[in-house]
Amino acid sequence: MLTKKQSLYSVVGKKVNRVDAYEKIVGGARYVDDLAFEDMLFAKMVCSTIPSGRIKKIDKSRALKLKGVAGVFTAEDITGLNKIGCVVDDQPLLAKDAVRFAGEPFAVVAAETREIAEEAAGLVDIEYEPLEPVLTVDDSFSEKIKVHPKGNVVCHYKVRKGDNIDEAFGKSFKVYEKTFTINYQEHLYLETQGCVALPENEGITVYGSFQCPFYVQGAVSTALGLPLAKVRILQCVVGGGFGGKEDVPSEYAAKAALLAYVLKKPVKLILDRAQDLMVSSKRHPMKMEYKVGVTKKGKINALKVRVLADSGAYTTLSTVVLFRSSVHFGGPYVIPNVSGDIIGLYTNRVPCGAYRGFGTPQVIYAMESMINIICNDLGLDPFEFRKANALKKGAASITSHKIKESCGLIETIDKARKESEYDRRKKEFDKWNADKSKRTLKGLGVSSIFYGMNLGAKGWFYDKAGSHIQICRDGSVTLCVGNVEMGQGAKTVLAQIASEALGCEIGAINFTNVDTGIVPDSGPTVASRTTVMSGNALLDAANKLRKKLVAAAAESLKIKPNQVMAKLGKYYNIKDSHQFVSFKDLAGKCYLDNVGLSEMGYYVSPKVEYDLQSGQGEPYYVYSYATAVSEVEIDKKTGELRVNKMTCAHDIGRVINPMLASAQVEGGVAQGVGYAIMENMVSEKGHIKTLGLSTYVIPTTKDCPEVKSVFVEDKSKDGPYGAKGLGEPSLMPVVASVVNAVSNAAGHQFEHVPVLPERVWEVLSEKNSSEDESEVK
Amino acid sequence: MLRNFKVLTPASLNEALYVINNIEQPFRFLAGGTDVLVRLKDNPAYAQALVDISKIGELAKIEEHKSTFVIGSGVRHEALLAYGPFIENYNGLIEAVAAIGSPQIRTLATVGGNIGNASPAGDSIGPLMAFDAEVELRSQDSNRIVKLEDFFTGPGKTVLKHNEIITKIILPKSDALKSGWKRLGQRRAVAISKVSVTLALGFVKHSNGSDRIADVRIALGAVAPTVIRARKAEKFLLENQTLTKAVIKEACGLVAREARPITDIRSNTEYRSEMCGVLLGDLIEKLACAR
Repeated sequence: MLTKKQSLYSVVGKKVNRVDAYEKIVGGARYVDDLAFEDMLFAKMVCSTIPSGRIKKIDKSRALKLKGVAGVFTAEDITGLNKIGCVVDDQPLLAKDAVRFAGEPFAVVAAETREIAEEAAGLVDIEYEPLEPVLTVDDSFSEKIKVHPKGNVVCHYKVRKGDNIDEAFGKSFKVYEKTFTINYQEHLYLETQGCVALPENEGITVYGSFQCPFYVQGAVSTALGLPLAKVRILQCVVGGGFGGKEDVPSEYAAKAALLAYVLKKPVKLILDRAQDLMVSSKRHPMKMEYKVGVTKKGKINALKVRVLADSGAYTTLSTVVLFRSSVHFGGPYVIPNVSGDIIGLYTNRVPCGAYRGFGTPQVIYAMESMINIICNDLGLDPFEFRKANALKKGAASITSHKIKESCGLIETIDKARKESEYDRRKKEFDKWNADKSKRTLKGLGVSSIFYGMNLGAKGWFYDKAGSHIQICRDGSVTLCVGNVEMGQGAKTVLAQIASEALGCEIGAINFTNVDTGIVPDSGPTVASRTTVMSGNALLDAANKLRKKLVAAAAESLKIKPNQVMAKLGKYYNIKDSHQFVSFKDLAGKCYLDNVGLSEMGYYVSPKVEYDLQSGQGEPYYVYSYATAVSEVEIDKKTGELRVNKMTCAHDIGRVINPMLASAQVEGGVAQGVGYAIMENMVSEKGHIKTLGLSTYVIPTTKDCPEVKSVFVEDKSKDGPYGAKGLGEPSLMPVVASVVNAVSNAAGHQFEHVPVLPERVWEVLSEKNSSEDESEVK
Repeated sequence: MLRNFKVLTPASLNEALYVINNIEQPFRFLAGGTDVLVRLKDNPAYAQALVDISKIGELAKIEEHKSTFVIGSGVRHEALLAYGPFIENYNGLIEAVAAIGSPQIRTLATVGGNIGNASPAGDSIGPLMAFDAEVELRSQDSNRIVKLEDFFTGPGKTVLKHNEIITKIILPKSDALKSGWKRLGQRRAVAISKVSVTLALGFVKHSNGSDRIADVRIALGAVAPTVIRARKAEKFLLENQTLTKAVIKEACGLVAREARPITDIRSNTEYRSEMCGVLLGDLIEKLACAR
């Protein structure tokens, strides 16, 4: 049912087709590797083959002798600073004295062709003194070997709430303890990392596949020693990011830019899949120790958590990723006594950083597994237990953030139960599982989440966004924002917002890709923030333009400005919709009247207050919420897993585009299912072994479940039209709910992700043999 | 490095035989290209020349003879899948080939390529081996027939000499056999098998009216350095003739012990061995019921 207010909107809330669909379908979209320039050189990075060692000597001579090689650059050739760390200055652009992970670049080659560059990369000689690597978080935590001179702790976030935690557990009716581990996840964007750098106007222009053109601008400026204004970043069409193109592209763009700037030629650097898998950041593996106390009434009264996260060889974004873990490790629940320690640790492995969900899917998996254990042990209903502990307006999170508005968690729990037909399915599955002749076991799993919107307390100073709107004299509209379209549908949703606010038709809008020369620094396209941040920045600009258009329309229609309404390309008299002036004519009139129809917009995320010492305060201004229910089936004899269905209920405030929102949920489910039961990055002695698409296996459509997505629209006062974010929440409950379903089917809570058939088979075989034994007895 | 790289495209089998007899560089055949081009891209030293045999029409035919089918080595998987007699009588082969890669890969990849590649996980090999297929290997001055079972010497290794081409796969007619194929992969499509089993069974009516096993072939994929036949399990089933629960259980145990898998990035030794038994059990059940 539409409320009276909703029905006022003509574009927002509608199933508008993707504005970029056509060019992608016909192959017209230009990705960075489609770009070619005269005299363009091709670059290739030369990477460490050992996980840890001192660099004794790098010899470029053999590579430089190869015909067609234009340059071989090492740390000493950097014209600016040899630093690339986004948050902490611990990472060189090119390794100089030491290598700290297998795959760390120490040189970069430019040559006339891709093939020559490849060959030359193999001719750059390096002599190392190998050192014993640190490969586990436990070894790192012991600090026996230091990855960096300052020690192995990247960051340590504490959350302390309530009384003495041990006393609190003493008052619990029952206490549960468990340790969980979780492996890497690779983003596996279809388009690998890449960029092209062009020397232009005594500066540099970089085209590429980025999530944050402004980070790239900063990194290039630092590496080249150029002012920011001399560095222009132009966003290409992006073939997927998922967090993997947040900070990481800066590393490649700075290298390509350096080569281009010094050699005075365009330089293209595209990573092949193997190098991309080896070098680029991943989702943090974690070891998570959980202790949960519950009261007789089924309330969580105490939670103690210690997480050791493998940050890899450099900080990259670990400090902000793990801040999120520290806010979300207790789930969307009210828990009076909390003690949490989230510790990021250096190892001699690939750096870990941003990935859809940003340090939360891991801890959600652990917390929601604990809830599954508790519900099974005490015979409690998984929905009622979650509702009894759920955050709601007026209640406070584990960081004592009192929720004031836009909290639809309980509605998502109710909707997920109803829409998944949980109660009927549960009965059917119990009956199915009781029948020993059946080859499979079936299970249902539940998980609930909350997710802080935007960058929060730890990143507030980055949390701004700009926009630029220009209305041409023929009524066509150019939009430019600072956040990128990377497949998530941002262009479409933002065009809807602009179209609604301007009263123009969506077809009149032309979206240009991000150009750092046009819009101000808008922070990264991450944290599910684009709809809210760029949406609000567009509203800011659009409202200024609308005022001018309304004034012009009032003049044309000879009515007062407050009698003008605008919708779908028409400005009309609110009392008589037949009396109108078209958007096109208004634009023409303003042009002739010398009324400027070009405006900048700007928006800053609501300020939040947080105390990092105690981990208490408002980490984020508002949260999205979700509950997911999974149906899985496991083969008793092979341990093979199939996720048959997922029902996901999301509270994302106003749904700007229901079709794209559902698509976002489907994508999140696919990626989450892969993480839960399939994607297994194997490393040996610090070397990743799964460096290809045939070994790092992600789900095909045949492996993906049927997805039913439903929405709760508890509007957020700060969101454009009340919207909140969905990009990451779409993935976040998936792993936990799938693993809970598998665990419920197998009768064993799985303590490691991914849950592979080999492990399921092992568990079921052990159970079988012990059942056989008990039969004999 | 592709600077001195050669691609030779002989128009006939004879030309191809001449080319490979005289070529000096280390070369690889290009049949479907679905493996060779990927490897070459990863490692330019993989070959210094390609001999493109994909356009040789005489290698791309399937012929029916009196007691055999002769499959040209250049027959594409999709063509094999569309061949009527195979659909009727070689279910195991059809199931296996239909699981190879994706439609795009099957449209290009060839039967000879899957064999020549000599992967222990090559999906078409198990059923062909179970049907006692042979391969014809030709050079300019010789022509020999080798049993498929004897063709492989290790992962990626075969008895093929540098001047020989796999020209034909000779598949004995075996209308009396019912066959099936099953595998486990890391996902449901576009997957490399971590274990596969082919079973072909022939039955005769005993005088008392019951069905007795007259012929049995079992091939195991991805659980040894090459695809192998499980001879002990075959012998055991043939000797026991009837498929009682106890016999099936014993046979499944036997194949699990005949498998010699490794632990690698796809799976582990114990699981792979045990799954040979599980899949064999599934296939026995399926074929015994299908009669």
